[in-house]
Amino acid sequence: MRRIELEGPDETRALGQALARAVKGGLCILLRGELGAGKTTLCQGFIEDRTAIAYAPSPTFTLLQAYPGGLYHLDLYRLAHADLREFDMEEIFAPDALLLVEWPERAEGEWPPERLEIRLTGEGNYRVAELAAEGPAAEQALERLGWPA
Amino acid sequence: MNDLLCLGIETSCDETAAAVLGRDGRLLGSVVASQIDLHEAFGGVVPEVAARRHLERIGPVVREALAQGGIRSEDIGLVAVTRGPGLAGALMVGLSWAKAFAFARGLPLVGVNHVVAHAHAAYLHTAPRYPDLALVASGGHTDLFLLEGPREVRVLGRSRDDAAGEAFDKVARSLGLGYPGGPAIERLAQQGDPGRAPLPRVGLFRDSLDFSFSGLKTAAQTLRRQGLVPQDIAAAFQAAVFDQLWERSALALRQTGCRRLIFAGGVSANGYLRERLGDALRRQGLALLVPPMGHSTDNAAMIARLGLTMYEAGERSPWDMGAEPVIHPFKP
Repeated sequence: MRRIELEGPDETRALGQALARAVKGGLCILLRGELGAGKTTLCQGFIEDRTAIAYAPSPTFTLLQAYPGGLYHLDLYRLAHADLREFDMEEIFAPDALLLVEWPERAEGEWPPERLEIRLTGEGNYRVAELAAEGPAAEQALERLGWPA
Repeated sequence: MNDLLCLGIETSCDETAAAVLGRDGRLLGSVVASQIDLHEAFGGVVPEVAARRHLERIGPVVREALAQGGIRSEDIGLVAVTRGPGLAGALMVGLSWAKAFAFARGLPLVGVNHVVAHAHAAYLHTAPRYPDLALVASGGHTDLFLLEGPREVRVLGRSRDDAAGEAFDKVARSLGLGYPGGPAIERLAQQGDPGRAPLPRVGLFRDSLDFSFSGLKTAAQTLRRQGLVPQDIAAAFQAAVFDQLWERSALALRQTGCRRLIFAGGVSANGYLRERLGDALRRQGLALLVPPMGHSTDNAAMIARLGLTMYEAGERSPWDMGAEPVIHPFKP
């Protein structure tokens, strides 16, 4: 487990960018935290590094945003209980797909056992990101994570 | 029937909608079946993702829209359908249905952009005067753009994070209010004093007309945790949203020389925002244009309106037109 302190949304975004560089191949990344904890901001950093889209829209209303290169941004906030079979699971869980999930609690127990868990907590301008790896792909990503960037 | 009748179909998000609009501007039928009542999206009922529900409802909704105007399906002369942005599976239902309907009857088909169509909802009761400046704010979008012609759109600013309507819903939830959050916040704000809840000002970004609502959402939650009363937070949040919408719009009006502002999308149903935008515009001798009653939120009349306008400008969509969940860059 890795604990990273973040000051301001810019650092949260930078952590997302650093993570995008550290992850090789496919991985499922679950982001947990209250409203406003910085989940979308971290995802925006990740997506910007991979696609050069600087301000990826929040997928709260569309649920899923797909980006070139097998990158998916899923947000289950609106759903009380999500049935993942409603999505194209072959695509979002493909071995080389990179899946970012906000509000994974809505489909607890349905995620791949090998994954990276990120929990964001904190108040005001201060955040703590706790990153926990399950499985070799996530472990290697954490080892490669260059932080501070 | 001599008039060309356009059947509009909309299934981009939670609403399954169909409408029939004449070339002469008469709205003959308009039906919106919302899924909000079914799954109380933020409430706790077990929902299904939208696509399956659209599939169940599209047929009955179209039949009802036709029946409202006493129209037979063979009277339809044009089909307009939302192509994006939206949820891929949901879009596919409307698109496939519209294609089948048009193909079977040998009718022209026009695919339209949902966000641009929101702005064209104002043209259900006013003629376009290009270029027109449009601010579309909803649960999924906050976009400021210039309508330069029937098919020409130039984006001036967008939200860099949450959409305005999304911020309304999330703040409402953190204040313990129901869904949808817009009306709930508006009601509560009437009893509040915005001066008692200090929220950060979201100033203009350098060389940009972009918006940001994520910080306001977070700040409102912090105030709640600090024990401020929900009424004051709601009032301050709404005032802060107005400040941001108006600051960007005012600058865009100056930059483009437009004399009126179209304010559309679900957030434009908010009476407080309408009133303050209207007042601010009037003080500068400018006008506010909003969609007809009931057409700020998702509907198919706006899809038919934009479809007809584009058709008359020569637009014909190919049969292999696909859904475009994310449209970059903006296309009408």
